[in-house]
Amino acid sequence: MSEVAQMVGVTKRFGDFAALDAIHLTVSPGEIRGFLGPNGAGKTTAMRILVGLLHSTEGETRVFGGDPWSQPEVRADIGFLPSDPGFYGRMTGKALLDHFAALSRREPVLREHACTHLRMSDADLKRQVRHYSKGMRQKLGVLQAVQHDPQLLILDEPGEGLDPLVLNGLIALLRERRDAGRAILFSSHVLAEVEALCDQVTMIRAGRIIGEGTISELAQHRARQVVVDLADPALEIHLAGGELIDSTGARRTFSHHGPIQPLLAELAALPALDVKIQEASLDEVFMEYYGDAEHA
Amino acid sequence: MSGPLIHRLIAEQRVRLPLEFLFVTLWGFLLVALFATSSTFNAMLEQQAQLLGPVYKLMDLDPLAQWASIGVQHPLFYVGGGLFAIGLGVRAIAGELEDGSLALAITRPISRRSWFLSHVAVMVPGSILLGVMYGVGCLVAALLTSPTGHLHATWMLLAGGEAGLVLLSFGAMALMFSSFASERGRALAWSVGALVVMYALSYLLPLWSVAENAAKLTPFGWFRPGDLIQHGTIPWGDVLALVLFSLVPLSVAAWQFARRDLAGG
Repeated sequence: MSEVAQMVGVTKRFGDFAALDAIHLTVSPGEIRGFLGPNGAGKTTAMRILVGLLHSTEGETRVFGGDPWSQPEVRADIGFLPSDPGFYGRMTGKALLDHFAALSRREPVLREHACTHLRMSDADLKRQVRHYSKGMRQKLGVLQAVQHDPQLLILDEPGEGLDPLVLNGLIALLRERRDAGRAILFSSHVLAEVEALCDQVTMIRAGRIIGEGTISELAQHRARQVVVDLADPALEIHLAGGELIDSTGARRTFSHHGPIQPLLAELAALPALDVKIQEASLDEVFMEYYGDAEHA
Repeated sequence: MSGPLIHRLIAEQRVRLPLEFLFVTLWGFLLVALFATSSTFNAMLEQQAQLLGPVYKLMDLDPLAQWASIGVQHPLFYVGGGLFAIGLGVRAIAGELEDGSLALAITRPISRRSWFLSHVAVMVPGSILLGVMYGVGCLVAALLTSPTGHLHATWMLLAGGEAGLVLLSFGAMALMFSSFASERGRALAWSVGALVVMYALSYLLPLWSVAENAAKLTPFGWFRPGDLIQHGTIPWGDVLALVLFSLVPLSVAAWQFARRDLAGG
């Protein structure tokens, strides 16, 4: 599977500050890649390099095999939603979408369909953009990015300001595009969105990629919680790779690292009334990756 | 250049530009109409011409040509006529960057050169036309009020066109500052500040003989429309200098815009 977007060893410095430090990132067709990180981690910088707004200090960025900085034609098949989109307020929503479609040199083949998903009516599109609410502006931002059905969608926090109904519509729309073979790079602070949508996740902190894979792969490297209800409250037990974090009555709670099979065998040998194993959620994975940095 | 972009830029000017056309036309019209109808005004002009002659380069001109020449070098003309080019220049990069609209538009398959040239393509005819409309205003007033003296239509319009080159140099400078700035306010402050300093250099320092050549450092120092209005002598050297006062900042702006990162704030 060939990548539609690729960053190899990309570094971006603003003066002495390294916003990105030799990152590698790929986005493939038919994939939704979540891009996760706290504020200031470098997500927006990386996305802006991918669409040619910023020039990397070192490394190579390729989109459809070309350089998005020096070869504007490769941007014809990109749909980009920045985190802080601004519009020409005196234009109507429709005029604005027509304008962006003309600049993209593509027919807005997906506009009507996307409008349905995002609950954007013809009447909405006939209003001047300056009268739009925050949520409406965000919907317009998504529409301008997807309306020409680009091969690569780069969306910086697309769910921002959307109500749950519209957010569900957006998620359905992006899944559809993924199933149609489009590549999507997607950043969000709402981990539930990422968990619901993304096939692959890339985690970035302080300009460096610190984790990459499917959500379950990432979770495997993190601690899972094991709760054992014993028949005898006085019994002391140990689990290989486990750390006892709570002991209340007959209940023992462990934090466990390591492969699941030996754990299951060990649990099967215990005089337990009940056992619960909870894999780390994306929230917990995120907190484990980033929590230490915040305390540091 | 990008057709859709030029179309949008023109559409955005659909109210402001006609208002500015109206302003400079009325300005030219009123000056000549007052000259033709008010004896008090004429007496005042005579006094002013003596005082301002060296500054506005009015020596050896007929009163009507003097007056038309003062009008097109007056700060009100520069302010009213320059708003279009300065506004367009400031908004082209810094303004759109600050608003967040540049990130949406320039990430299409449109090169930065194309973005830049599209703005220049709107700025050049708009500025020249604004200058020409001053001439139109003067000529209409002359036709209706029959002042003492004569304004030659072609020469007056050519002088207006030359004034348009001065207005264009304002826009070129604004575009240059816009290409370095990330906020509209900063680009505007730099542009207006530079113009005020240049205007002061041009019209105040020449009053002292030691600094009379300081005006040549600014576009104002190369704009002497009196001879053109009265005799039809096209000052090619001045025209070339005025073109350079636009070309140099435009070249700097194009170079800077092509290489800069477009991150807001």
